[in-house]
Amino acid sequence: VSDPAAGHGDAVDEKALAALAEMTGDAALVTELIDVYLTDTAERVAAMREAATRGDTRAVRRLAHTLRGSSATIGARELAMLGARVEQTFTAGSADARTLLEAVVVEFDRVRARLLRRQKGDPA
Amino acid sequence: VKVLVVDDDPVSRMLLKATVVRLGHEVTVAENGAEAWRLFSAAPSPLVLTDWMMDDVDGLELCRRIRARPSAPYTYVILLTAKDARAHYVQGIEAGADDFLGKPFDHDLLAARIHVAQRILGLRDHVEHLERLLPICMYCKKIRNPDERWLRVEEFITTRTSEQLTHGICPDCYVTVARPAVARALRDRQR
Repeated sequence: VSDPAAGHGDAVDEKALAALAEMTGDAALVTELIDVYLTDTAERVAAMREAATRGDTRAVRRLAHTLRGSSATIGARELAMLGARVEQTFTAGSADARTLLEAVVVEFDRVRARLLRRQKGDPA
Repeated sequence: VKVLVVDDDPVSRMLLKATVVRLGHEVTVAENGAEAWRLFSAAPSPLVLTDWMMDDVDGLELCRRIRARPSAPYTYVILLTAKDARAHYVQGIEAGADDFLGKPFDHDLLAARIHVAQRILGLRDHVEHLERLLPICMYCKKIRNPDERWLRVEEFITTRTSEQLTHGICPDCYVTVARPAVARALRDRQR
């Protein structure tokens, strides 16, 4: 069984971010988008864990839907895929519920570290 | 064109707004379906770009509400859907959506979809303008109904509007038509 927490490749696809800059014609806006994404996603991941603790499968899946969308937009592919998995398969109290959410937390940490480096002007 | 952008994901909302503004349109944003409906009810926009999946009032419900308004100018609705929502397109069409766009959206596709929306809204305006032009006979003043029948003005008005007509005589016709006709009738009777 593969460990769902093991991130493959880059946490964030730099090409996706470059495409966003090109699309909006505004590099400053991309910086702003990343800020919004980081704040919003931190809240969303916390809300997912909280909903899981409550046993609210529907809420977890709903939050995962948006997590998937915004992560795909920003180029966080692994996190988007994890979001899709949570959206489709998460069941509160099931055997892999905790593992799945932990994987989301770990991958988001990786994405956040990568994006924060970028925000400080370090592209690599 | 005025565009209402509706998305509960702040990242997607910001990006959509920036992109649509850059394409040269005027954008209003709403964070959810309920807010969108409030904004739309206060000032309807001809184009609505809405996320499908939202809590409470979702994209489908917003669409239904927009379509349920009686005799309003047409609003073109584009539903934003996650890529795997293609199987649910029929649901979207039945709710009254005009078009769909996958998320994360592609810039060129979005530009193309908005272009099509503008073209259709333009045609719609043209049709409404033509509907307002009434062909009227220059001699007898009958009016051509959309079913091609020529109707007297009073028939036309009573079939097309809720107005009830009552016959009377205006002062001009009283002098030029009614009074001479009465005088003629009296003369005929005296013979």
